[in-house]
Amino acid sequence: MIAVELRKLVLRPRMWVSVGLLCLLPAIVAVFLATADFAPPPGQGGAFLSAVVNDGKLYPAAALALVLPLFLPIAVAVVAGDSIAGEASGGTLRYLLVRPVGRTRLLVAKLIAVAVYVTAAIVIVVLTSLVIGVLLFGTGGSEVIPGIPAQGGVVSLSGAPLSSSSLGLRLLGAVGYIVLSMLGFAAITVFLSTLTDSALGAALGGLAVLITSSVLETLDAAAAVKPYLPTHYWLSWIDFFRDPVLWRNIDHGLLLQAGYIVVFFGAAWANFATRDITS
Amino acid sequence: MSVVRQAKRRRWAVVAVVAVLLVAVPAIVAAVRPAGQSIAAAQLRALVLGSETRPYQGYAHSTGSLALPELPNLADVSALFTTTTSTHTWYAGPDRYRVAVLSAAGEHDIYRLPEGEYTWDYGTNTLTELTGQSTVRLPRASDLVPPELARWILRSAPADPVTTLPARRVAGIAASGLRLVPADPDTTIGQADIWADPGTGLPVRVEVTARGQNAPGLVAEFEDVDQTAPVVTAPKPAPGSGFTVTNAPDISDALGALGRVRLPATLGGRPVRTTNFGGVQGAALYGSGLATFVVVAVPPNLARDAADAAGQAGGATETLANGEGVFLSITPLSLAVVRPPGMRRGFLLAGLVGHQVLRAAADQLSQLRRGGP
Amino acid sequence: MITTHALTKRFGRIVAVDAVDLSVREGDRYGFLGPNGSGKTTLVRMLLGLVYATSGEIEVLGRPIPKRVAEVLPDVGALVEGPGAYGHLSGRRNLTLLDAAGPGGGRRTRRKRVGEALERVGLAHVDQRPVKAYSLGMRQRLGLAAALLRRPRLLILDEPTNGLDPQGIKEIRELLIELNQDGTTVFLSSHLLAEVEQLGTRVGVVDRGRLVLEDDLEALRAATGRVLVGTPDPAVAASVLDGQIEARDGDRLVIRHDDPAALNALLVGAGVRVRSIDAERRTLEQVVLAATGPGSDRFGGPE
Repeated sequence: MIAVELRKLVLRPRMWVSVGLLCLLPAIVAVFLATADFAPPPGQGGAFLSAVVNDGKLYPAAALALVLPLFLPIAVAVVAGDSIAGEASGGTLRYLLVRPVGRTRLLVAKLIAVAVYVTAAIVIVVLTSLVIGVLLFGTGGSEVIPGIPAQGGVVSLSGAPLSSSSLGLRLLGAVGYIVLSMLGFAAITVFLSTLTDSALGAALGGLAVLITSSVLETLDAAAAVKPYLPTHYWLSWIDFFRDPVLWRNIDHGLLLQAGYIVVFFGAAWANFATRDITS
Repeated sequence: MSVVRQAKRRRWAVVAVVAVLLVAVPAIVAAVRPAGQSIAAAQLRALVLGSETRPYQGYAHSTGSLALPELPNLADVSALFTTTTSTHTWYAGPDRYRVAVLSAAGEHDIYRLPEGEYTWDYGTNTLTELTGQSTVRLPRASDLVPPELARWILRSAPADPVTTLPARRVAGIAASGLRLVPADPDTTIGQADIWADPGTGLPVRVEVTARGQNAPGLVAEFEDVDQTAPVVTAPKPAPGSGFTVTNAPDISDALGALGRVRLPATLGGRPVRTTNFGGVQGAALYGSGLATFVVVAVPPNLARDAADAAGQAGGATETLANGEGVFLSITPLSLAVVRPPGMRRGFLLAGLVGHQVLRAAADQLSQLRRGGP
Repeated sequence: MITTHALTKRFGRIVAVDAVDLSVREGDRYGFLGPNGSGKTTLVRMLLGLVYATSGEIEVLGRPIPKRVAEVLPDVGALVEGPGAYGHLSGRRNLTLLDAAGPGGGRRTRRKRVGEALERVGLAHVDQRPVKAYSLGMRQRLGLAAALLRRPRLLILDEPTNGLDPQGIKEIRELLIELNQDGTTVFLSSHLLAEVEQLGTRVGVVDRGRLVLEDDLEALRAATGRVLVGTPDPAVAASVLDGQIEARDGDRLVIRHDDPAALNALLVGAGVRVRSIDAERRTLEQVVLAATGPGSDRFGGPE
């Protein structure tokens, strides 16, 4: 069943369009940065943006910072919202269940397919932005900005130089962390997807959860619930680029997302497995 | 639905139980490991004051909820008291520590080492070496790490009475608590609550409450702390990033303090505490205990900007003996901008004292003649 | 093959299926007849474990539903309320994915199975175009192919001829009869009387959620004890059959008599010219109309 879901994913033109759009945003930003030939002032633009002009190898991190706040969640919401509700509205859900495919099995396969999609999307974004970054900004030294020594090299947020292998490992950690963050969100949207027959409704519901969480995050009065908000630790992947790596928020973020996955996947299972399929 | 009603209920019950358990885990952990009893307040004060050599490394938040106006050149300082600052500290000793101020898209590091002080700013991609040390400088994030803040408070008010507070668990430590109530009627600080490890004296949580307020205006707390000695070494300038050496204390940087101005020995009835600003004059700290305030002489354009900002933030303009001043009170902080007419300087006053003290000081300053008293 | 006992399904306050006792025997071609909105689809969904009953019991292939539905479904082929397929994929790809999704059947024989199923429903030479470009009839055939993919022992088909042209309907009917003769039990729900009459060996009639009639088609259409006679000499016939004539319409007579052959002999012997003679049988329509009230989608009319 998992293999079937993955094949469906691959055969879906919509998926490739969404991945392409995800890659497009960092590419556009990179082109503007390269043609303008000056770094954005510190504190403006996304994280790492002011640093990438020195070394394109850091561009994948900047690309992640660009797509994470909005593009990636939207793509995940669309795919996760489509998981059950899309099959229901397309009339294929009943045939899958009659085939028979166990309802829990179908849910698991759907979640795994979403996980594969998220991983693939992020990895593709990282790879394309790495290529774009190296092509446009070079690897250190090759494109000298006046006033900056020509040695180049990637610097961690804490100012320590990063070797290529260390950068690779940190990037890998960040990708893994973002994937899990997205899966927590995907679990919520998959649950919503089992509640309705409208894929769009489920995706919008997921985004509504996201926006609510982001709004509460800025509200001091909501301090008590903040550590439980799904988006609370989303930006902590940046801690992989500190020196030493600040694990505290990453650990908490991982536990939180694992909690969201367990609870909302459980809710999806409880609802979907005992629900009347009338679509 | 009856055919699956049982199953449905059972499944939802499982999900509900799991969800409640997950949410309740922190509370359960807290219940399983009670904080115990606080040790005597006087003993705790002595322990905290002697904890300067205790190493630690930890992740802390400090949250200020003062409604400070946007002061010119002081955005970094006012941010400390208006927002939440996250820091990671590696503290090996009083002259060997590193504090990283963590922001969502960068980092600002302060290194204090026997051989010198460094700051790293990711935004500007610059490592700065500070040579020489000023005795008074602007507050910075490393001052709001719980141990530093707690020791500063207790050191500032060594004679004020302390009472015991119930113990509470902070970052896994069963911390004993004490409450300090300043005896000086002129300070705006109502009370300072400090919790510290009763074993080592390491402060882990500090709450500062302004007089007449119920909620603390400043809370600093460890989220995570480990009392082992870290290795802190000087940062090396990374290739591709900037490196500068500067020897001016940051206060003159930020305010453009006028070095030529001599400040009086007492202001508002308060004796000067220190005028040694690493060789820079024009700024001084007055008062004793927590009832202290700082005076800085600044150029008139800066004074005008500061007066405008304070006025917009709700400051009241009052006529002084000579010229006028803008007074702003954001408990526990009192601010004043003095603009004597026709003078090529102004004064900024800020402190933890009541309005009347600052007003008396401002009156005195407005009459100050060029070249000293 | 299918037994239900006091099967009831409520959606909120609406009773969709009301205490239905269904009995489908092995080898039947069961026509489940009822107007739109009478609860046919809900019942079919309950049989397949898609919708859970409010109360009552279901047994399919001797096993309780929904408890052991996973053991039953591999032997069941189904078409529920129209076909469903991924519009952006070809029909063949759709069937391959569906085949791979469930248990049983090796990967190596999958191609062959899919090919056979497509051939059975007349889509053997369909090209690679996506299903969204299919006509309604082609989609219906694809849905049937999906149901036949696993050579099921029981076929549960909900409105299988929807959207097919008369030629297609005939093909499907012949296919179902052929499958039935090979041992497949066919449960077909329809709102079309003619379809059930032409295909079924057994009929269940549902009306507003209640099963109002269930019997063998032969029994329902038993002779009424009357004979219809067409003759150019109605007056002579009337005099011969004095008192036995129930109705007379021009040269057509309705005669109470058990045996058309004997009646024919009697009339011919009396010199009456007989143009046509046949035992009167009830039409299914009459049976159904007698058993049901007005259509359930009628509102505000006389009850």
